Amino acid sequence: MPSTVIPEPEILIPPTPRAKGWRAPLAALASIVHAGEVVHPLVPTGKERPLSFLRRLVQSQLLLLLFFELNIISRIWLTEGYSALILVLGITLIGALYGMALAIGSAILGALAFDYFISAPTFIFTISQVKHFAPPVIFTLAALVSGWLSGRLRDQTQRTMRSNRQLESLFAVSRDLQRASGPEDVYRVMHATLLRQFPETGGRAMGVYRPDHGTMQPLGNSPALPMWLDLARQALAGGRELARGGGISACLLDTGGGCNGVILVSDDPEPLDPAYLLALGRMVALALERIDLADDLAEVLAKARADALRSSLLASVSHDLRTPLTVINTAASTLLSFGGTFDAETSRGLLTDIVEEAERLNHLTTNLLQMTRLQSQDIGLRMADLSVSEVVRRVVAHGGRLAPGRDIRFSLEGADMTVRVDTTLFDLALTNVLHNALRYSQPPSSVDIACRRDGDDCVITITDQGIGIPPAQIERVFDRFYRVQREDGGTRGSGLGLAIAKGFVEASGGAISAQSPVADGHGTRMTIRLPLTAIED
Amino acid sequence: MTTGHILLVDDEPGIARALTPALRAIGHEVTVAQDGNAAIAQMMLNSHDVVLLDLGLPDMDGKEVISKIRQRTNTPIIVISARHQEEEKIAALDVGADDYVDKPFVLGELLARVRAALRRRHGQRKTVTHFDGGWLQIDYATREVRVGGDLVKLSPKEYNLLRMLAENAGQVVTQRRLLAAGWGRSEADPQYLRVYVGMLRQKLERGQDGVSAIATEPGVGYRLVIDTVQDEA
Repeated sequence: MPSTVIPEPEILIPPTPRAKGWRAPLAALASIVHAGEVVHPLVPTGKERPLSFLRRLVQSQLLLLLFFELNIISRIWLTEGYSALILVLGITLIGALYGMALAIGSAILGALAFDYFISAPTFIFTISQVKHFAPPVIFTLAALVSGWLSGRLRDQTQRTMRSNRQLESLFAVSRDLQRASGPEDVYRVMHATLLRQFPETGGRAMGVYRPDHGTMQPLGNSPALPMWLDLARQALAGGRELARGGGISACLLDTGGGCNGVILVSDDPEPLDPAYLLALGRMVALALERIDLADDLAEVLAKARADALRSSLLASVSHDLRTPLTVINTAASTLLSFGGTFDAETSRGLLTDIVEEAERLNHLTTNLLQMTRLQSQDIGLRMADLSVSEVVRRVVAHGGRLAPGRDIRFSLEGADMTVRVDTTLFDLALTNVLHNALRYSQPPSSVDIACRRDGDDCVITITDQGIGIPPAQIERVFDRFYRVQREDGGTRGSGLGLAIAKGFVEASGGAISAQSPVADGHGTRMTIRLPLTAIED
Repeated sequence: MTTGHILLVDDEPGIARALTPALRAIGHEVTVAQDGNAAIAQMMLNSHDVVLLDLGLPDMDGKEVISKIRQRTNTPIIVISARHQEEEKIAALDVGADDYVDKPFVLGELLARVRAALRRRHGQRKTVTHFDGGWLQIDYATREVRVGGDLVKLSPKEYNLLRMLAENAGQVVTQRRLLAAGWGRSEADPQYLRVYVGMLRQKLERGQDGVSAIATEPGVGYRLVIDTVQDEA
């Protein structure tokens, strides 16, 4: 599964000299850079955010002054009654633009100014007669109605904007959750989402918790405070989809197939919209479930691969066991049924085959047993201090018996060396490497085994003059059951020999390597390096 | 005579060394090829009566060798395999092999298979009108089947299956071929085949010493284990 790493989002505010005044927060918001891509700001661009009260006050009073001036100018043509209408228009406008409070203030101020400056007698406050009560009452009513209407409009706009922000945020969450490849990614996406939604407060304290053997496990950097863990446990035990308490809202992660966790979000500065939190919870639940299923699938696939490997190993081993068995069986049956008719040479050839194939079977079973031993860590190696030249001489002598007519040359540079290794495995590893050298080279070419000391190591090289190993395969010759194809397609080995040699050498703290070609495009050299026994006097 | 020229294709020298003396001892002529290309070359150079072919060859897949041989001759091919995988056996039979033997084989059984293959090869040259397996006799013209001399009633499907097995006596016949013979469709349900073979076995029971004449080759097919009585005189 391709893993998408979602880094913790960073907020970078690059210098934006043109963005001044009320535009600055917008510009900052627009430049939230998230994982190398520019995230669309959640506040629609081009829309203003609410102005400060002082600005609104100043602007509304300027507007009032403007209409008052208009009123005075209009007195040239209009009567007192009509010019009052102009002031009503102004107050209505202020109510629509700046809200009810400022409109009422303006209405009172306007009424006083109207009475003092315009209503006859001018420059005197005359609220003695009933007719003088009309302008203030009408102004105030106009202010009330327009303020109420504009307030409703503003509320509605804010609601729309908020639900837009939530929708966009949900969309972003669903997109980011699709790329999440682990539970930690889910936490990061959630964290980034709340940060984008509430940039002014630096996001919100939140955490995602999953039940694990009776305890709550925080995902990613979720707060691991006892209070939060306790709240998560309570929410899970409560079983309600949404719960609130202690300044924290909890949402159960329920996919319908069961609850797989809890989201906790701080109520500071105000509680999240329950519908929004529920939607977030569902998406997170689904994402976690998807990740769990992907993990299960990966596990099943790995198991299937291991099973396939095991059965191919078994097929390979059974093939390798059957071949010598067939030869033994056929040769023995042939001798039994027709032995009397054969000349001495034919009979001897069949008997030799039986002996050789029995030896091969024995070698193969030894290899299999030792391979198993090397693979199971609990069976210790039986270490002993061994003379290198003695073991090599024994292996050479044995190899010489199996490959009559082949020249196996042994040379020791300097004094004999002692290594501390497992006796059986050392013998087997050397035998395997020698067998390989003999198997992949043609008579009458010779095989050279040389031992020398290199610092604190004993170095044994086995060099043949055979076909060599193709460069592409040289890395794989030590793999189990890997066999290099012989040119003449002759006797093939089990593919275990070099794997055992490598297993042995590494278990003994040494190293083995293959080099091919050695000289003029031919030959293979295996180099075994084993640490010498520390010399004690 | 049931002797002939045998081409033995196996990359294990030990097997060729062990098998050749036995084959020669009973009068066969033996040529050994160590890989697929050598086998194909041999088939072009000489005429062989039976090919014994190991499927795991170093240079090419055994099935490829079979189809190459089948392009020019219908020499019986007996596959020898150490891999014991049904799919592989079926695939080899499908591309034209006649029979198979698992490694390690019993020498006597291998020699019997070679003998059966040689008989069929000689039989191919004349029109066969009847099957004579001693206690089991089939007259292809009248569709009469006699077990131990007594006439046995067989349904048309049973007869078709028995005839297919008899024509290939001693040799494995794949489920597909049997289904095609009995039902006309090779993709019919092998379950039918099991049922009909069961009924056939019951009807052929008399005249046998406890061992069923129709041997099951698990996952592959069936084999009629009767040596035909040869009119060698």
